[in-house]
Amino acid sequence: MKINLGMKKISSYSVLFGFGALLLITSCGGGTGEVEKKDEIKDTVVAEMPKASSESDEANLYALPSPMQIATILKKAGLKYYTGLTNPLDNADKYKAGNLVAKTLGLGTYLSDLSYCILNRQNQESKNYFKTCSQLSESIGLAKAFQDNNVPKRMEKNMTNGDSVSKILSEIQMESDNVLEENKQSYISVIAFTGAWIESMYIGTQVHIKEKNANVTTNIVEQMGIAENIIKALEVNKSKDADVTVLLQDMNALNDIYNNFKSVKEIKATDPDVIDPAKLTISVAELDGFTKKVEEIRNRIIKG
Amino acid sequence: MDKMIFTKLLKLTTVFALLFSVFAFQGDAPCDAKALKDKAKKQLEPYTYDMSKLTHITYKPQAWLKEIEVPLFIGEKYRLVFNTEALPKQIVISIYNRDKDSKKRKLLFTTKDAAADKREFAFDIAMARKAFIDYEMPAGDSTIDGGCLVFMMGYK
Repeated sequence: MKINLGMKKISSYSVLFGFGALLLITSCGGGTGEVEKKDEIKDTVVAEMPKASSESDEANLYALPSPMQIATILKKAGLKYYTGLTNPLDNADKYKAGNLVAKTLGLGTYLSDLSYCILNRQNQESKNYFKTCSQLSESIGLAKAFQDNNVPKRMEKNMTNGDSVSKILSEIQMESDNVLEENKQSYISVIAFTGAWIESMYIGTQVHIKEKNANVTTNIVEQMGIAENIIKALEVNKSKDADVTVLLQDMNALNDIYNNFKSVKEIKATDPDVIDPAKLTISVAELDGFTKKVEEIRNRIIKG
Repeated sequence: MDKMIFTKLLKLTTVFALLFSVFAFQGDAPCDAKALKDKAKKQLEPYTYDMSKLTHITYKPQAWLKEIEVPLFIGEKYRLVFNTEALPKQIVISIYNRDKDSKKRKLLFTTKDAAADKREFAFDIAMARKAFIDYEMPAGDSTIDGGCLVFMMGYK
């Protein structure tokens, strides 16, 4: 009995020691948690703002849509497919050899091209762009989004079904957002979206040169609401990489051209918050200057 | 004597066990981003996923506000979904047509009067160029651990 009690005593000491150790681990774990939390807070501190001091703080966080939505909107406006407008696939090798920003921008342009091809039922081109996007995604840590859940096979099988492919692309988008958020790399999605947006604008303006479709023009102008958010999001992330600053300068230059459109200035003079594209009258010369700037930025991006 | 020591140790162990569970529950509110987003995705149906944002929330002695600016396209229909299950203390989510500094802004949606146990919210919006989502964190005990919430948007 004594021996048993002794064993129980030892066992109880062990349990006690075990809980002590666990408590210590919990405390240490808390410490680690603090460090992680500080990191997280650092990410959001710019956006924090006590209600009392609303004048001075940079309080906004900026949401950006998916490349697929941009392409869908332009398609609804009547954007037709023309061969030769998309970023050539053989540029991918340059992006793979480049830095993170070059790779990410390259992926962004290809995601936009993929959406353009899918929405216009260019099956073979869609396959090629999907394959290239998948390969490029590996180099920036997004392979999971393109390869999990049987995505490659489902894409192959459903390539002729626009709705199914759109659904798969939205799953890829969601998984990419998850991976980047988990890794605290949300700025990568800002860069990728900038590449995708510029590519969409390039395709939109080039198709407009060919067709002079007024709906497309209205939509191109409407996209400038997105440009403002891209600029704000790049501004917040410009310290991440010197190339982000270059991108920011490009976007600001494009935004300046837009803000100098006569009708934009007139509308902004009465209500700077909301621009109704239907009320805008863009001259040929204004749109030409805008188109040239988009082309200049896009050509620099695709060079890698 | 041994039995007494054993009983005391047993009591101590129980106390430590209880303390441990308290510590364990005071740790981070479970912020399983994937699980939260999967739930939000279900609420989003039949809209197509467009974007999502996981926001970490901390509590401070004073009330504070975080605003997310969401660009929209005027002819599109959107669904905005929120899941606040991973927040230890409820916050107010409000959606406006203009930013917090605008005198002309209109409230489009708010969770202010929602039931205290409601943790999933959805709001459909159309014919808008922008939406401004305000997370209003109540004044509270800054020692309470924070949590996170998910915002997801889809389009038709």
